[in-house]
Amino acid sequence: MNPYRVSEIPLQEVALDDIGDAPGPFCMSFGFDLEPLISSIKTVGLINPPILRSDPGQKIAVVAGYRRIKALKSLNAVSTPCRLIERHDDMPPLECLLLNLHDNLSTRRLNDVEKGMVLSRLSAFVPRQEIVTQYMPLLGLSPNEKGLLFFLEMETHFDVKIKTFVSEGRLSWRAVKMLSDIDAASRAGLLRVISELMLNINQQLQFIDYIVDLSFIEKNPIPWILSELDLDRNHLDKNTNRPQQAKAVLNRIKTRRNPSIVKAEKKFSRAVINLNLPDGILISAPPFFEGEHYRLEILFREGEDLKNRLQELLRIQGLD
Amino acid sequence: MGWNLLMNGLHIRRVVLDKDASSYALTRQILAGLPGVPVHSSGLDPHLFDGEPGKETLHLQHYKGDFLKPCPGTREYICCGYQILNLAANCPLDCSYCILQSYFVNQPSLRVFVNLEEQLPDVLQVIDSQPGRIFRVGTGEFTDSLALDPMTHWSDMLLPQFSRRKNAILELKTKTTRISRVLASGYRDRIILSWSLNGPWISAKEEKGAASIEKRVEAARQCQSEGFILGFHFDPLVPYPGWRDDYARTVELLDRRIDPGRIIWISMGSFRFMPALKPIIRRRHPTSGVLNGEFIIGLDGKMRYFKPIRIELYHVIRHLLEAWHPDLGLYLCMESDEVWRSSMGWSPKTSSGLREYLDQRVVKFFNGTGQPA
Repeated sequence: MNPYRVSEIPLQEVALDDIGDAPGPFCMSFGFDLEPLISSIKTVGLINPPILRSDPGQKIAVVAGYRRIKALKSLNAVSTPCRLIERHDDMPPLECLLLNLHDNLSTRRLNDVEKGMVLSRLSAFVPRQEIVTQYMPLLGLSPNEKGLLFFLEMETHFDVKIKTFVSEGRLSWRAVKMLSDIDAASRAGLLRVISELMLNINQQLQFIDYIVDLSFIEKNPIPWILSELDLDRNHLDKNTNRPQQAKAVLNRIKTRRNPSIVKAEKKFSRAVINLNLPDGILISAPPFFEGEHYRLEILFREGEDLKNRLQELLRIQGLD
Repeated sequence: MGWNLLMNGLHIRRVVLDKDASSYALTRQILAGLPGVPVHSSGLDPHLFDGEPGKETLHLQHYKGDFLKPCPGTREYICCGYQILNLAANCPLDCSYCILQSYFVNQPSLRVFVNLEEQLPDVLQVIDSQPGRIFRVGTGEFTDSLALDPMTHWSDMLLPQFSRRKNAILELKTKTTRISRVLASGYRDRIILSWSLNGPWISAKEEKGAASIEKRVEAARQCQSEGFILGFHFDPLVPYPGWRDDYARTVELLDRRIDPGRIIWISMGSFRFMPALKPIIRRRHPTSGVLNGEFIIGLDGKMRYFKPIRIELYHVIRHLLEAWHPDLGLYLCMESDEVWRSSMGWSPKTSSGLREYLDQRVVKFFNGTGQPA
């Protein structure tokens, strides 16, 4: 593409009504907040005119500047200055796409859903290997085919809700991968709980893993399991904050998934409590009770204090 | 397709031949047994052929690594010190729990290393150079030892070599009944034929393509009656409703068919896997129940059953087996000293302790002379 060609197209005024509302085939915007742009246009006007494309018999399509057009429409503007690519300009779709890509990359960072949109659109015109080696690094992604396939799948198969979670960075990639193997209704149910309880990244993975396991073990669909567990936040202890509620919910699910492990943990906790350890002395079990060694932690100020604490320990009944 | 391959249940639809693999005798022999099967040159992505791991694509390769390697045990658990003779990668059987599904996810075809004959002298030289050490060698780590034997004739090449060595045994571990070549071989000394066993329910549900437990035990009986020393491996043990009765049925079957005095060892191991295998099992075997148990992350980073569950599994099966015969060479695969003591009543304490115990079984059964005791 000749890099100077677009700037050679003269500016002209186009009625906003003539421009289609659909994002169109070159769009790579998802999950954006329009307010700052509206505010900017209100204050200083449109700085950078959009690039549009006119095809006979169709509404004018947006090549670059989808958000600007949307902002102008919401401000009830009548027309916009723009560069209009006419049929006789003979600009192929790939060039339009690349124009918009570079326009975006020079002004902002794309979120992961938008990267998926770019890769998906490119895959219609560019060989897969070229996308991997040239365009994935351009988007800040590792150049590998597995990654490309995942982005393409996300763009094609994920619903808006999960894409919104991804674009807002509220869902870890591993959680996204786990959710991608699950049907839409189940996914929506899981996302609702993740969202309501604001589960952190590790909690998300644990939660999805437990629920999927329970669904397989109990041979019931995920929505049924979720409804049976009654995880609605309104039904949780109102005297606790959200992180506490999240922890309580995960514990409840874990008890159902791993009853023996939870029973052993409770038994150990009770045993430690019954020791009546002095303040500042802790005993912890090896992770999952798999190793053979328990850990003793003693807080002390100086050597004499340590000696006293050890003496206290030796006097504790029930350690043997 | 050769009639013998059909007879043995192997379905090879295509062969991928590496350039540097074409000149080997094993290549010529395998291709001669596959008339009409299309042969593609390497460089083609085996994923193109199959949506699933390429059980029907045979990839003939020149293997550049060492053919003899120690079993990749970890220091956190007690390991038996087995040596792996690496003949092939992947397996025509399709067990839901198979770790090979995650090991070879990028190379899904059945890979046979055709330069075995060329490299075998090096393997034997390693063994011969340490006459004071006993090499327990097996071929069943990255493939089934006998599943491909009708096509590769590995046993023709290996049995004579191992049978004549005083400081080695060769263990062929299988879930099949493809024993015709080993039976016809005439070599018995220092050769151990082993079968992986499980409860009949697990076998039927989770071990796709494998022979039934009854058929495996019958094949073992036949081999024992023809003079072979046997081994058995209850691995992976899986707890599920009714597991005690089910494993008892397998032991009863052994009792009816097998002479326990001519079993060199029986191992037990519970299901364990790298976390990456879980989504693969869920996708490839959606009705599988092997992931239903209570798993923890073990000291080696693998998922394994919560310790009390493993102890119970081993304890119950140990008692079933010991009630059958008191001296079966029972041992645990990749377990801790604590689990050994709790479930078996004793422990070799360390990996070298277990190696010594198993080496003594070799001496006992083959008497250091090449003759079964």
